[in-house]
Amino acid sequence: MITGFNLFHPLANLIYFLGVLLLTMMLMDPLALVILLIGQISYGFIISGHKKVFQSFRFSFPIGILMVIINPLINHRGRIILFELFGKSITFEAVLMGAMMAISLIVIITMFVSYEEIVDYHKFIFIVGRVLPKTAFLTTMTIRYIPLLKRRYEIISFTRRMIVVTEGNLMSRIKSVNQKILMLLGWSVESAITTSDSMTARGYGLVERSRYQSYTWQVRDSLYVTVSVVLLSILVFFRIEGRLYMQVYPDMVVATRDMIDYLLYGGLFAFVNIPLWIEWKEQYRWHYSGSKN
Amino acid sequence: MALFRIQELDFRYPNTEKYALKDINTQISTGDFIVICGASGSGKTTLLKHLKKDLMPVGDRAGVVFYKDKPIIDMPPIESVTQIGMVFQDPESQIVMDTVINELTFSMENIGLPRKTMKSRLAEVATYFGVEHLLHRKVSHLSGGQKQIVNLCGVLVLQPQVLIFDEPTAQLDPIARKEFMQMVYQLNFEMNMTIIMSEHLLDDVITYASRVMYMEEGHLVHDLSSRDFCEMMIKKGYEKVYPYLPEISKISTVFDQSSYMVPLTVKEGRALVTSFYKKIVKESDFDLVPDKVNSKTEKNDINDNSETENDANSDVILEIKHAYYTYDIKEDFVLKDVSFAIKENEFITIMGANGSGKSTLLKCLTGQFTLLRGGLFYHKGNTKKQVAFNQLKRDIGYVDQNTMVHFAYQSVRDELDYAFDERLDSKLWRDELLGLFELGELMMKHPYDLSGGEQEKLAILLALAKRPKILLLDEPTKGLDPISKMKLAKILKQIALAHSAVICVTHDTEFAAMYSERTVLIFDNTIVYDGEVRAFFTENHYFTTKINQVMKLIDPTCMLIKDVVEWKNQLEHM
Repeated sequence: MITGFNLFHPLANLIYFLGVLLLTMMLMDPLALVILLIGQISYGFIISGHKKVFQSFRFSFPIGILMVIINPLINHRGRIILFELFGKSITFEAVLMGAMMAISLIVIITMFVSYEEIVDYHKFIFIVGRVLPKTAFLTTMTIRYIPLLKRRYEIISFTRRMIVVTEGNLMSRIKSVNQKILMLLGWSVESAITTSDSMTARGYGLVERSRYQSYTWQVRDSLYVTVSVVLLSILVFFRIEGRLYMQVYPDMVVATRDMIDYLLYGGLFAFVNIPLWIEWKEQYRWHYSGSKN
Repeated sequence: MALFRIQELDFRYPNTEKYALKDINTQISTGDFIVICGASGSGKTTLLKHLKKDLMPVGDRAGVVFYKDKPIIDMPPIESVTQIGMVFQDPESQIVMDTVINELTFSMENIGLPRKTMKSRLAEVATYFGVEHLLHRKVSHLSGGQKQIVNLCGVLVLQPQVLIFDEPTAQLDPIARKEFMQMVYQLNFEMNMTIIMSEHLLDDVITYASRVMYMEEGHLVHDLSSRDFCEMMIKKGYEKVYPYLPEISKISTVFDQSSYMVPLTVKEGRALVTSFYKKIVKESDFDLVPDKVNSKTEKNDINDNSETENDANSDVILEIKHAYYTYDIKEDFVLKDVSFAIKENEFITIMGANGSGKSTLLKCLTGQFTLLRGGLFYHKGNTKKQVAFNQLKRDIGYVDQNTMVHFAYQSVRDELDYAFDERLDSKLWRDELLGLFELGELMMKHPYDLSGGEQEKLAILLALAKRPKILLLDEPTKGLDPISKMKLAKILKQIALAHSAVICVTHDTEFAAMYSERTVLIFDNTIVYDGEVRAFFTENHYFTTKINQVMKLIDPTCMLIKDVVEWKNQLEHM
């Protein structure tokens, strides 16, 4: 069932994910990245279930580890030398940088697990359709054609296998695939004539099209967007001012954190976890209301 | 006031000499249900497209089509879209969008309706036609019949006054066809919607239609009310129109025509036959199922048994034993414990509902699929062994229900050149087949430009090129007009007699009764009947030929008109 943040307007959904993406790429600070990582993993757990999140780890962790290993191998800047390898120094700074890049990558990949669930295909088309109505329409038509063409190609392959005697070497195989694709094209062009007749008969292109798919903008959307945008602006402003950024090269500066820094961490925590809170609130209500049997 | 008035309409496609339409004069009133029949290429589709401005073909046109007393050419485009709706033959290629709801709103979005109107119209149409449960489905997951219903609804949300159909049920199975026709009739009967439909077979529409038009080579030859049409064609003996008539009406040709009304329904047909029967047989002897009949079927059964015992295994060429198959291991079986043997020169029909596994059985017989259990055995000489696809495929010809997938080249000649090699015997075989299939004149045409019947014949000819021992055909008669169907069936019969066993998947009970000796019924993914055709239809009450339904109570062995003739002769000479 669709609950919580998923019920918000697609634009509100989009602002959240774009915000997470932006912050992950801008904030080069271990604590900030950890806040983002924990936020995305817990949201992924709630929205898509732990299975899907772990599935994404199978892909993102190896790449992350690879980054931690490769960065010090190609980057030798920094002062704290851990050891020498093939006459090159492996520095702590490079390892740390690699680790931060790895965490950002894992955050982004984990984010897409819940993104897939929240901004589904219909919402995506809705958002794209606002800016590019033709593109959205063509995307929908294309999506219909993918299973159709696949099925037709299977039928063609089946019948071709009954006729074509020569098989085996690479050249004849390429030829055979080429032949099948040509047949698929021929068939599809032939049936596209009916499609275009059917579109004309139902008035495509006569007047400006209206849109059926709709999501209503509610007070909660305004509230959410205001809070998020304010938080986001503050974070970005202070990032440009030089905060929430750990300088690694050429000299690693372990900055002392002041009150403003801790407030910023708080703001980041809030921004990342609002959807989680919305979701949790609804589930809490359901659990402690009479609707549960 | 006539809704449509067609005056002196002539039409010729560009660069052709022949008129596609010539001297068309007719009127259509509000609330009419008109069925247009005739061979493929007789101009039915061209005429239908003249009734909708946005689909009018390009070419030389003379004469005028009036819609509500104004030339249809001057009709505002938006009116033409909303007032006149059209549904085409192929259920699949008419659909534009990916889900049912998107498809239905597509039409309304095109004409810029406000969202609120769209919602209420969608709710109305979806509820009225019971497609609510399909709304969020992907179009690719629907059956052919469901797709065609979605197409109809996609037009109905525009609230048209006239509906035009171009052979809407030609690609559907009999159950889906009946369901669709009933929906159309409901629209005509309850909403007084004007229906204009082209259709090859009158059987399912004759009782709904108010008028029947018959077209031949661009001319509108007959234009009569449906009962008059059948009466006239039978009583005056128009031979060209005869194949198009409903099977039940044809029964009256057997009897003295002057004294009977031509029947249109099973009920009327039974009344006609019973009144004849009562006249011949004295009241005292009156017995609805004569003993003669029973003895006849029994005798048949005995014959069959002895035959099968003698022939057992002697001339079996291909055998599938205890076969289990599924396309997806997570889904249910498509074939369950199917055993089936093909003998030399047999003509077998496979029948059954959509999704029962008919086509899958045919595909499994080609050897391309790996069975989950059971095996496919090929008999060569005295050996019987399980074979791999590569050894088998030379001896098996397969024609898919989408005939177009068999054509890869630019002309019929090229297709033949690639299919037949240069050896002398291959050339002789090619000439023999060309003579049999009568395709000689079409050599330079592109395969896509052939009519449905010609395409089917070409595809079968190509499949026969390597002289297969078995020919597997998936619905060869689908969408063909009755004359092409008859010609094709006769060719198939000859092939079965002289060259290879023919196995047809079909929905057409008349075709099965007339041409095949053996029939197989698949139900619930397994074979439930496998035996002689006559015995099959004699036992069945619902799944049988039209003639058999009429004759059921009097002589259940009658399947076709020729059986009724024989029955009548026997009765008169008793």
